[in-house]
Amino acid sequence: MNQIKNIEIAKSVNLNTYFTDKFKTSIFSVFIHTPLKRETATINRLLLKLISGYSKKFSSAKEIERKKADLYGLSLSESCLKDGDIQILSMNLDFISNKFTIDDENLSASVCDFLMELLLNPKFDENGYFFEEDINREKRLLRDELESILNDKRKYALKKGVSLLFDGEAYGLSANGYVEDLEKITREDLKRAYEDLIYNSAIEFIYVGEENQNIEKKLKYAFEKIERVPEISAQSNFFGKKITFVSGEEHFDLTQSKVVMGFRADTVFDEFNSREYVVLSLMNSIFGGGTYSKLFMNVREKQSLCYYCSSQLIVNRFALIVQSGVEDENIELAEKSILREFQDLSEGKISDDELKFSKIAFENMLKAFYDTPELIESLIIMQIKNKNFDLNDLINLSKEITKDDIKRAAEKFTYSMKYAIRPQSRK
Amino acid sequence: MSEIITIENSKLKEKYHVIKHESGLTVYVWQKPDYTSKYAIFGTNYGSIDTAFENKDGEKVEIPNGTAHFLEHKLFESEELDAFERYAQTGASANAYTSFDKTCYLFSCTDNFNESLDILLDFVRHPYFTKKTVEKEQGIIGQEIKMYKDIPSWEILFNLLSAMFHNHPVKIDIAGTVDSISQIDDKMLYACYENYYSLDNMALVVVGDVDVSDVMKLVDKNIEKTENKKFKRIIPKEPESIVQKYIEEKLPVSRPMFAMGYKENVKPTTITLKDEYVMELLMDILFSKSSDLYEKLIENKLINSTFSYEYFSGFGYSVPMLSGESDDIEKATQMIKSEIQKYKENGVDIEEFDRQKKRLYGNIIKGYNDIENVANELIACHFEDKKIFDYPEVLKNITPEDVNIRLREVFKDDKLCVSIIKNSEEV
Repeated sequence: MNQIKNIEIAKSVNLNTYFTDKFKTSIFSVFIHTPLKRETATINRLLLKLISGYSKKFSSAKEIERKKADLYGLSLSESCLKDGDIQILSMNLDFISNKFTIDDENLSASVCDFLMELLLNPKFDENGYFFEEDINREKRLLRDELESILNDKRKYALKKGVSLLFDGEAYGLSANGYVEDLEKITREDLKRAYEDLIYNSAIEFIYVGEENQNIEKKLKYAFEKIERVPEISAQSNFFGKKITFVSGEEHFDLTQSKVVMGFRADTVFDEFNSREYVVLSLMNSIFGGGTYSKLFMNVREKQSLCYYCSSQLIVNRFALIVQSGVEDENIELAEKSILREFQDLSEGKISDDELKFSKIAFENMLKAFYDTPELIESLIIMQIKNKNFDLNDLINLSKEITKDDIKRAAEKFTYSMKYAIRPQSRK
Repeated sequence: MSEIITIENSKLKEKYHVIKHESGLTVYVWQKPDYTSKYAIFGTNYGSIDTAFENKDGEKVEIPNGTAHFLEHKLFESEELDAFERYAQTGASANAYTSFDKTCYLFSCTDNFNESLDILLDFVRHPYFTKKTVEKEQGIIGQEIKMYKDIPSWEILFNLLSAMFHNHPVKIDIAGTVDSISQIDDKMLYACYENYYSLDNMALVVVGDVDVSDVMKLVDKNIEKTENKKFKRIIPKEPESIVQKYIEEKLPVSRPMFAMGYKENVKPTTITLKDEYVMELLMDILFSKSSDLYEKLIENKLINSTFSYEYFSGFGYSVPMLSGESDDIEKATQMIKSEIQKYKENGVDIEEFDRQKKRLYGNIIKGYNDIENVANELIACHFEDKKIFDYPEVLKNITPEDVNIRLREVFKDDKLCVSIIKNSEEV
């Protein structure tokens, strides 16, 4: 039976591997954890662009792209995510197995070297700073990227709603930074941020795919000379707070309104409490998680009010977000309808079928976790956060959950946020 | 007893079975014993480009735009439980899509595969349309159409297609318009179903840890032999010329967007695998991030990270297209045209040709990894008369001369259309 192995590479630098011959590809990712702060969010985002797009060995962005093509179309994606109060800088590499290369090349070794080159050998000048022309190039591209969220009104509404719901907390910040910060970022800021990442941040490497016993050696060698002084991992600054209702709206030249509603509990989520995780997941599933859910069946299907109406759980912030696309004249009706469904949930008005279907879907989802390298990677990430995270445990726990459990979980939530993107008012 | 043919590829270590059922339906079973997920897709070679058919009397019947998509939505319903309610019992995650040339109904699951396949085959074979259910769906699909109208990348594409095609129905929005769907009634849906959902026009693909005989037992149970139609796709004759060089629309976008496409002269049939790969390879050489053109456009601040390209092709249409945001669309399109001209004069660089071939090969291998991707490829191959294991070999045999000839044939100024979205919010 294949095993997930965790290996310490250096202080707070770990390698997690899962070797398997099942797939035709492998993935190799790095996740760098740093506190999510207003002062550093944008600097870190820009830094990630500079690390992933350039390096000393490959002097230009074009050369990096050519190298990736040479590595049989290695795909590299970089992103900044947030998890609780942490900003996670990640690079994810996806490549074919050695056996599909011409002449059985050791592609996975080359990919590992490539990632080490990007991470630990950035394109610095003789003084150890990023080049101004590279910084300016990436500032422009990042600015355009941040501004273009406006083009996807659904995503834009979600982003505004979530930042409003968590205003004043780290989670309310954007993991991708802010346009207004870009101009004043200096090369000194970036150098400091880079050093902070490499010397102080918690780093997790995850490799899923074709066996490669050399990765551990390569990583250890790469980190040998780096004098790491890792900071204590960021503590949550959220200890529960009084929930008040906030709302906002914006108008654009639009055909359809997009509405985001948020529900929050003034309680802290315990990451080691698997039972709570299962209850909340099932609750979300019944409420708006799938095509059997209250929102889909009652708000979309029965009333034809919206094309999309679904919910998602931000589990470690004990929050629930509903998104819906609706005709502007039906906005109030849709809101009332969604709230009615949530009230039913918190009064325990859950049918046997609703509970049963959510459990079946949950179990189906959990059983699929070994079917793609990406899913295995996300399983590893959950286990990094909670060593006791076990799929079979979750499946067994799910079987025990009652309507009353769901009701008591839903009762903790209060309707706390509404954000609407609406068409221009008609004159 | 249906004949089973096994197609194998020893290099990939994969094989699948093809079964021609006595009813006329072709069934593909690709066994993946290491995977927990199973995936099934049941599709018909009928999409938004099919705007007319010949009835029993040989008369041409015109269909309102968006009917294929409307029918897809309605097929989930029945007199008793609708398909989503039935799938909720088995825990399958179900969906469907209508594209330009096909409509597919699918599900994935880990448990209860046979029960879920039974549901899929049953509901797709038993249409149920009434005046009431049609009216209800007009509301939901109306919402969907409006949602897409707010997506600039969708609008820019259809505007480009309307500037390019005089008659080819590919320029029609897949969901139709609010007006066109108001003309759909239950009689029309039954007529389309009868014509297009004929078994010799359909295919079933199953991928995962499944049993061929279990699958065929369910096919026997649900699929009766009916009169097969020898389906003929009717596409209006399309002149070689474009309609207009330029088209513009205003929407609330963060910065101006452009899409440019070249209309290739093609026969009213699907593109061959070789022709597809020649164009993809050509476009990678010209426009990928490792190209000189991309570097030039970025250095001159004429594009940003949204720049992308795609070979948009199907039955009777072939359009290499590029798109992105730009603050100076005129200059960007000029630079692209002049770089293309240079390549036409000098031919493609051999080193870059080899590099992009390697990259495309890597992408082909990646495609065989994923159950969902494999299933969708298989069904597309069936309808387009292609063989999924031919991909690497076809690519291998492409020469720089193939690419240069295609470049000179297709990328001509009189076949170029440009579609632009400007910001409607600007004063």
